[in-house]
Amino acid sequence: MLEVNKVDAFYDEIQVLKDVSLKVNDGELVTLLGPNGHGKSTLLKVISGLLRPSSGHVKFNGVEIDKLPSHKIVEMGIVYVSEERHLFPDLTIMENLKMGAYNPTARRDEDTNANYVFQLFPGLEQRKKQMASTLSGGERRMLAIGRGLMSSAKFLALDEPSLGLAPNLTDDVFNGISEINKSGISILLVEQSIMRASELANRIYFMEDGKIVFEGGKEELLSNEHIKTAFLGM
Amino acid sequence: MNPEQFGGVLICGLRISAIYALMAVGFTLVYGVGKIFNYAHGGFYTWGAYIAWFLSAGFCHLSYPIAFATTIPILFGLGILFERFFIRPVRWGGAGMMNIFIVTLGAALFLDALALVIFGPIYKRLPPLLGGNLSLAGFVISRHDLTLVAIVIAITIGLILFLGKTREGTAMRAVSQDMIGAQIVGMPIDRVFALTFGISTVLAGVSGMLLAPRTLIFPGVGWPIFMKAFVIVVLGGMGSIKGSLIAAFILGMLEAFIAYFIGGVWGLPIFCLVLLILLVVRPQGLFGTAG
Repeated sequence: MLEVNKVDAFYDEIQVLKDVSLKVNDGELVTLLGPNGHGKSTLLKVISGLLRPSSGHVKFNGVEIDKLPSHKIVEMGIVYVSEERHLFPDLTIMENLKMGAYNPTARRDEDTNANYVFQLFPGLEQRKKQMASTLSGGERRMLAIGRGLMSSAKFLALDEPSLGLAPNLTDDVFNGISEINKSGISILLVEQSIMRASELANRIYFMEDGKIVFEGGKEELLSNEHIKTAFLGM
Repeated sequence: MNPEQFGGVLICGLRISAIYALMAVGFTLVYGVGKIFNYAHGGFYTWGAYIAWFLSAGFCHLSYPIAFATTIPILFGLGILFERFFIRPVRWGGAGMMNIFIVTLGAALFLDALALVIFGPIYKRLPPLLGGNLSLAGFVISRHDLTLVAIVIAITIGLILFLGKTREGTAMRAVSQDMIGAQIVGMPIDRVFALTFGISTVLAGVSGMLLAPRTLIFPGVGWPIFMKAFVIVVLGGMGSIKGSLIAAFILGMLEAFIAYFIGGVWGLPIFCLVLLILLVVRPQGLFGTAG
């Protein structure tokens, strides 16, 4: 479904991604792990068209998307849910969701998608007339994911959805993610917390210093000597 | 000051408040959505008046209301073209705010120079929308002023409904609140910008058409109005439409009374003094947020 092929990317002069290749198959939930500041979020920005790769390609269902503007990429079914969320603070919950369905394809399914989001996160429905700025951290996370789903996405790029959340809220968010994946939406999940995220994943990539240093399942990850000593403290 | 004079000053204050409000809202809309300081806003005021003059008395001899109505889509198109060919390339060029600043200043000077070349230095006159006066409870008010205030109120209500209730209006608010968020959800940012410039240019041009029957038309006629609108926008809080409307009313009334008691030439200097004091005391304005 999504194929990242030998991508290099820079912020100004600094190379953040180095020859990154990664694949997410139809219906898969793939986790991208790795320490903070090593390029995971940057890869999601490249996939969603917010940052252009300096070389390499990103393909979605066989079509090259790395030169498309971000709104075309959303229209094709890829949506990015940022770690910083980037909600619209002075719009209501409902208006935020409606803006998620801005592209012409999603507009037709606006009501269906909104019902799905409210079923997934019932807390949002009770507050749909409130401004986004009045929400708690966990609810903002849910709204950001819900706003992404409003685009009729077939592929979700999720950036650290559990960051800064209390454990019980983290459970809600991860249950939601698992539900979304079961409904047939492929997910690339970026996380720092290895344990929680690797439980959900079909496959795991590990990124270090802008390079993919590991690819495999949970068991292999936990028995990888380098990752064990450097990042798990075992 | 007898009641009649007081009424006259109030009506004058109401008229200029209405024009300032329209100018300020147009300016603050572009600033709010794009964080762009549009110096050319005054130029579009001037051109709105010139185009209406050209279509009516000057050349095409359309009746004035028809010329007025025809000028509006022309202004909208000018705003769209301005964004497309001068703002967009600089914005995506990654060159930063200073370059956009210089582009809009250059455009402002160009618009004035072009008006001078095409229409010459001789002042032009626009007829009032409706001639004659009305007598209301002993006060005399011209039909033009009454129409002017009614048009401004109608446009303001229309704009507030557009921003609050429609998808495109909500998109403009969304872009102003978080541009990256707007990109993430797949909004075509360029189109939202173009629409914003189109609307803003219409607001500036309509201001020009409405006030021109009082002030005559000449190259650069928009500058002092633009500068006053800028003071109003700062007082109201950059990017705040509600703030601009209230500030326009306060400063418009203030100017009318200054003109009556001290003299009309004191309007702009006192506005600028207000600006200086404001920047020291409350730089975020009445309704703006700090930073």
